Amino acid sequence: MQDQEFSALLSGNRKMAEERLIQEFTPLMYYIISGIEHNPENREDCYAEVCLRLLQGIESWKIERGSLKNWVSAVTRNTAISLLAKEKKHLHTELQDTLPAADASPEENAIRNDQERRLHIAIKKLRKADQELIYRKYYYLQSTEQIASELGHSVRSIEGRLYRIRKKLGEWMQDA
Amino acid sequence: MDKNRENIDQILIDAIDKAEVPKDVDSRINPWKHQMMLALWGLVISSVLIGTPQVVGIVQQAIGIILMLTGLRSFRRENKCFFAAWILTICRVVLFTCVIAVDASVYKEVFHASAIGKVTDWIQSAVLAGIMISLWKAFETEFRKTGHPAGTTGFVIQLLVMAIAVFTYIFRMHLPLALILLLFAVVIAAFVFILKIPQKLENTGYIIKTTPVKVSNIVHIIILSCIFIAIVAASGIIWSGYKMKWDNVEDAQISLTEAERAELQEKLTDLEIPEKVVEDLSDDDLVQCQNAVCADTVKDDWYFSVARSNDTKHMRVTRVLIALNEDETEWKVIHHFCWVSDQSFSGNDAIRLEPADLQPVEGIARKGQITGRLLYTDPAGVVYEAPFPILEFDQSPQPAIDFGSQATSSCYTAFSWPKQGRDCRCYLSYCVEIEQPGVRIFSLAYYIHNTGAVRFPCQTALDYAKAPGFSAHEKFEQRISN
Repeated sequence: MQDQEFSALLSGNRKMAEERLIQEFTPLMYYIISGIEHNPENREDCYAEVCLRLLQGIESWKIERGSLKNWVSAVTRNTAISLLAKEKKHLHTELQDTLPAADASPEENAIRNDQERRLHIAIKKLRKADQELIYRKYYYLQSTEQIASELGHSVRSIEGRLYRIRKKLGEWMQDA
Repeated sequence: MDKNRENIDQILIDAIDKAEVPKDVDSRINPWKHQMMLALWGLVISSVLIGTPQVVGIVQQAIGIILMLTGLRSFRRENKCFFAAWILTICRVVLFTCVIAVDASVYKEVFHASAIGKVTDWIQSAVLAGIMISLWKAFETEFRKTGHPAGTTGFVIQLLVMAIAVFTYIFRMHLPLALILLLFAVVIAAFVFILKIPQKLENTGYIIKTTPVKVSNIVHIIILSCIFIAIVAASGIIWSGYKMKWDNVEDAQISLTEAERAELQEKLTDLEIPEKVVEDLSDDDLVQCQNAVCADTVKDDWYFSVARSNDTKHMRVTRVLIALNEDETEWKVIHHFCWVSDQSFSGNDAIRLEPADLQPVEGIARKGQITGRLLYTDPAGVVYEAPFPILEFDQSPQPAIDFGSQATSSCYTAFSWPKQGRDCRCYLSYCVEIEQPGVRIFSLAYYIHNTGAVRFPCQTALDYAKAPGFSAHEKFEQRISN
């Protein structure tokens, strides 16, 4: 479904637009959720929560701000992460390291903001294929095995590429 | 150590959390499109081969098949039709490997002209059709799950075009050029539709789960490429020459006693036929000459170039006409070729004989079969002989320049000399009957020598001999004897 088509449908018939939204993007939502939430039982709860947030926020989507798919991906991802954060507060797993850091002091915030600005500039300098890896790993929180399977690479190959990308980003951030 | 590098992971997590994924990067994040496009491009590349030169066509097909197998392996567990497509692609790889192994050998033309070769071609086409049908049904199954109409028209069109091609081949129909071009355009358009299927499926929101792979795409491609190259190289090395049935000449000569042979040989040398030619004749050929009355001999010296060298190879060529009766109405024609230089040989040579009875001269009829043999001497001085592995009649090629010969069919022979043989020689002979004495007996023999190394696909001297026109070729040299 094209964005223009959905926008027109939303203006004319909200209920139908909501049904189409859920029908068209359910597979994508499950795809993103399955990368973040590994417990199959919790995925259904997460999916339900995502649907609720999408339907509640559907009026806030505007075609000028970005594509429908991007918006759905962002809402799904953020909802899944926040639900995960609530459940896994006390778990000492790799996942804890993948969650955003807790609140910090103003000085630390300023340093972090500067680092994030430099990092965004550095990420934009990467090749598209490397950017894809970064977003898969750190935005969609996909496992290395999943990334390797979908791109037709071995796990070691993906780990090696991620290592080199992180090293490159670190150097560029220092030079920026 | 720099703080940025130490905290790069945490910075990435924090920074990307607030980021918006660029649209062009987000479109790449798809669980299955990458592998599926690999498979579909492989299908297109390996199928659209019209008009490409032989080597390019084979390489193109190899690339396409490798890409198909590399892509389809990720979908073999998605549904039965994808699994079937994957299995059929493996079959295609096996068939293709066998065919390119044959193409690297001297048996290429024989294979492709034989029933097995034709059946193999049909099986390859059937496998390709099977792959198209499997992929068509596989995508239909996926679209059915989404509740959207299947966008698989491209496969249907391709199968229709294949059916038309089979129909025209079976019934030997000749399609006008405009129709052929139209069909070609339809094929291209159909493949464009096929390449858009993954995007259509993605637009429905459907996700195909991919099967994890143990070997990355690039390693998979390299392994398959190395297998193809190794098989072609091995075949080219092992089967670059014909299998010759060399036998000790003493064991082969069983028709005559020593004394009888010596007597007949002396009779022929008395007719001023070169001794070298007489000694090489088989017992059967000697017996045919027992009533020989007179002979006419023409000698010539030919020089062939040696690859990557300024040396030349020297060949002594002798054409002998022997009158077999007093009336001079029966004649024996002998074309004798003798390598004078002792140099190594590679690959294969061929002779094209246009016998006198097939020339546009009336009143000449051939009696019996065309005979001949090859001989060489090994380093220990033992003489070996072998029959020609190929000795057949076929249509004469159309000459680009008229040398005065317009034979409608020719006798072809092909053979391989031993790599380190000395004193290599051979002859072809036949008998003719002429209505009245004085008719000119005009017999042409072309010797095609392989001057170059092994090449792919294998082009034999026999291929060159049958090729139309007088084409210069750096790997073969041709000389004519009459």
